[in-house]
Amino acid sequence: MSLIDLDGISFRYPNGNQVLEGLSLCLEEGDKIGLLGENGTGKTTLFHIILGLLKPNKGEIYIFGKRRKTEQDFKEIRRAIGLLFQDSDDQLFCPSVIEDVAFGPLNMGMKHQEATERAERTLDELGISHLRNRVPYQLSSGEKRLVSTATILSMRPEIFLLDEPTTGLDEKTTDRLISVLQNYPAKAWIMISQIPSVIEALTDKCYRLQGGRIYPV
Amino acid sequence: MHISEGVLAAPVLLAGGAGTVLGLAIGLRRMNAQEIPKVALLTAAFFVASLVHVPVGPSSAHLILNGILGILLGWTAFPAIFIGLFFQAVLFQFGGLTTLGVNTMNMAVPAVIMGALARPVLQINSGLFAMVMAAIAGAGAIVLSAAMVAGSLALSGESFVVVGKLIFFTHIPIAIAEGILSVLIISFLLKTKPEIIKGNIPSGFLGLGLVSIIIISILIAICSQAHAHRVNLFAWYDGKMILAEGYFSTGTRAVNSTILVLDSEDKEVFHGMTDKKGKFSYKPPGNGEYRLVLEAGMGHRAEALVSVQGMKSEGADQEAGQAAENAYKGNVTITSAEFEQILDRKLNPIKEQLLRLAEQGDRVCFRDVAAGLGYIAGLMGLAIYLAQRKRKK
Amino acid sequence: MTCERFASGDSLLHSADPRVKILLAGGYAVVTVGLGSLEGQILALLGGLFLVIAARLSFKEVFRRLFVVNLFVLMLWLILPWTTPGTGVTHLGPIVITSEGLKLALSISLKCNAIILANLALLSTSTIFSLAHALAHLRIPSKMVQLFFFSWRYFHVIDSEFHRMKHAIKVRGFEPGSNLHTYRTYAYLIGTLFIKSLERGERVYKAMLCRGFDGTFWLLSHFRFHGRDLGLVGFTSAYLFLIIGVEWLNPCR
Repeated sequence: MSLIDLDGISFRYPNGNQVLEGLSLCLEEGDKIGLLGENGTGKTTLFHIILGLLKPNKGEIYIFGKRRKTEQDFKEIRRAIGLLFQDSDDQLFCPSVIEDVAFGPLNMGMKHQEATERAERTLDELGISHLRNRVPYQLSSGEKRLVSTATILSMRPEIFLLDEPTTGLDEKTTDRLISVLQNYPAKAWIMISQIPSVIEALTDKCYRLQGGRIYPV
Repeated sequence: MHISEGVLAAPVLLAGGAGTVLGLAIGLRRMNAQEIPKVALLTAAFFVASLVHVPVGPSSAHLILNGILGILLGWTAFPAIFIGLFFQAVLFQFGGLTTLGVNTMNMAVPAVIMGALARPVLQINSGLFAMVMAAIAGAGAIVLSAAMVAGSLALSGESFVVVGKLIFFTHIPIAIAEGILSVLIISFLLKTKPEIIKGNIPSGFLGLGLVSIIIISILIAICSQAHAHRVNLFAWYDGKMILAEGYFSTGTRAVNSTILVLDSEDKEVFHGMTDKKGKFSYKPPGNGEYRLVLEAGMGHRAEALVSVQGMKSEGADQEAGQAAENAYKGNVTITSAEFEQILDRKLNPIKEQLLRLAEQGDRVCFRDVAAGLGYIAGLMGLAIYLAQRKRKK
Repeated sequence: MTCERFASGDSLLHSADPRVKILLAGGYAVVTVGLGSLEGQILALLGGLFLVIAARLSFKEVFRRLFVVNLFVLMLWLILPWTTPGTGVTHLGPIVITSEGLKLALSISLKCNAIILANLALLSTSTIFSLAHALAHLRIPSKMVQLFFFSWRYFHVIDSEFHRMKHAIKVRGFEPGSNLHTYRTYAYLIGTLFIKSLERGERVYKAMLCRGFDGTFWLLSHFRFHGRDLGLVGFTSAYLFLIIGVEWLNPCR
């Protein structure tokens, strides 16, 4: 059984911009897929469609072997698929790092105490416990990226969708993020990136998104 | 909380427009060129935030956030709110062009007042006191806006009083929700970027705080005044029966309304209805003081006292009727049936005259509206004076 | 955003001078608000309808807009007939329905819809940018016009920023409800939005300074008053005078 199976997905923005056209993609357990493509080809849109944030005009989405159509279907899978946003600022919104990391666990129905413990453990795993009480919005962009990764990891997702995780980071932070992701026991992931070294380190298959479809590289 | 086109009376629309022009002028004067992008971006942010629906109990409401806007922008909240409302009127047809002035006043005046009240406190305190102030500003701005909306409706005609009340009361839960949100938003801002609240205080804010307290207390006084004397009850004893007539302050009769008759121990002795002419009559069981209560629906309520003396007693003294401002109290005693008839015939025209007079005194006329506007203009003038003095220092 | 849904089109009203349209819309609203007679109000409504037809707007969309506004009017219909003092027409239990109340509700419905139709045809057929432009030419203070421009320009930026943030909390399993967790989340979201907006405002200003901005805001495009605009002005104001005339002949309230 494949984890994610997209079949003939087409998507057009209300302004008429057709970004995806008959796209099919299959993610199996153990897959580490890299996704390339020029700006504006619909890579981020694809991630949003997988999580049900955007509804495709055509095509079918199967996740964990079940057809996903309604908002309720997608709610079930969102905690199992972690999406790391391209811009950390979109993701961080709380007045302290610990609150931001505990936000996901709280939404999963955990008690306050439990969620805080989970958040602290996650910060520890990433080696950023010292940021615990800082204001996320005042952090450096590297720190922000690590914290937003922590907000995803604290939900213990099985699949990752990484949207340009290392763009704008220095070498040291990039290496750190790569080692964090390599050590996390994810079943599979898809990563958008433009940086060859990162693609090499984190993926074993590569696709290119062009003209609304994907082609193996 | 916008009032649509075609509802409000012309004087209310004009007054709202004049107030808004004044507010805009002050707001724009206060804002230097350097602040324009900042204010514009906040305006846009508030417009976006006002499209958010937040669950309130079983239903949901969209946010207004004029309390926070006042805290962050002060007088500049006027242009910000004006622009937001203009967008809504042109893009979604919420509110309207002719009501733009009134709607801006209704939202921006509470914003400015609450900002002036809360900002000085938030500058010196970040603890419990600041949070209480944030709650008051957030909830108070909504309550005040709702009161102003209700007030502008009530000033446009007697008929809108109930609509106004309905709007006011439906905003109470929203005010509570906004109060909670304001506390959370302010505490967030104080934690993450305190300089936007603690930073340079807009000039004239402290004096305004004082002025706003006065404005609020006057508004409360006006509101409590507006509730009195909406329905009038005139009652007298003609020697046989207690007679009563109910009038609204517009001069129309209170038809088919319930009247309760209570005796001196407040025990209900009778209840009945006024007839098609708004008249009511009742034969009292004996001497004593009677209290008549008229219930004309939706809080329209009036009372009158009647003293019944000399009932069935013959050969007692003769007294003419007495007139009070609101109620006509009469005690007439009879020597003979003949005399009674003569007296009645003589007194009836006077009685009618008195009724007419009392009625006119209660009618809300243009003079009162003008006086109210004068108050507002005067207070604004005071505010500008204080602000200017601050600036000169 | 489905904001400027009516702004694109090729009717006479779409191509008319926005300055003229603003003045006409204002005049139409002022005249209509003051109408007391049923005849005048019906004429105003018909005029609004005619303008919408002339602007060739999508009836479905116009109807949708009117529906939302008329929810407020419906509330007035439910309340005014029994709160307006006057001569009773009929009873509903203890409630008396007065003819004055019914007349008032009818007059508000007519006036409200008349003005909205006229505004849709005259104002919504321009983009916000050209309206702001027109306001600048109508001697509205420059600071106000600048605020207008910037607010509208960055409204879309901030709106999409807010949407991305909402998506981000959604993928982390957030579901709104009447509880403190929801309120806190919204408060943090809105607070973050304010801070981001303020900072963007500062950056925008700096970028403007770098390009030599000194407080004057230059207008590039200028409107020209065409012959067909004269036709629009002539027709609309003649119609308004007709309404005023009818109102004068039927002074009843």
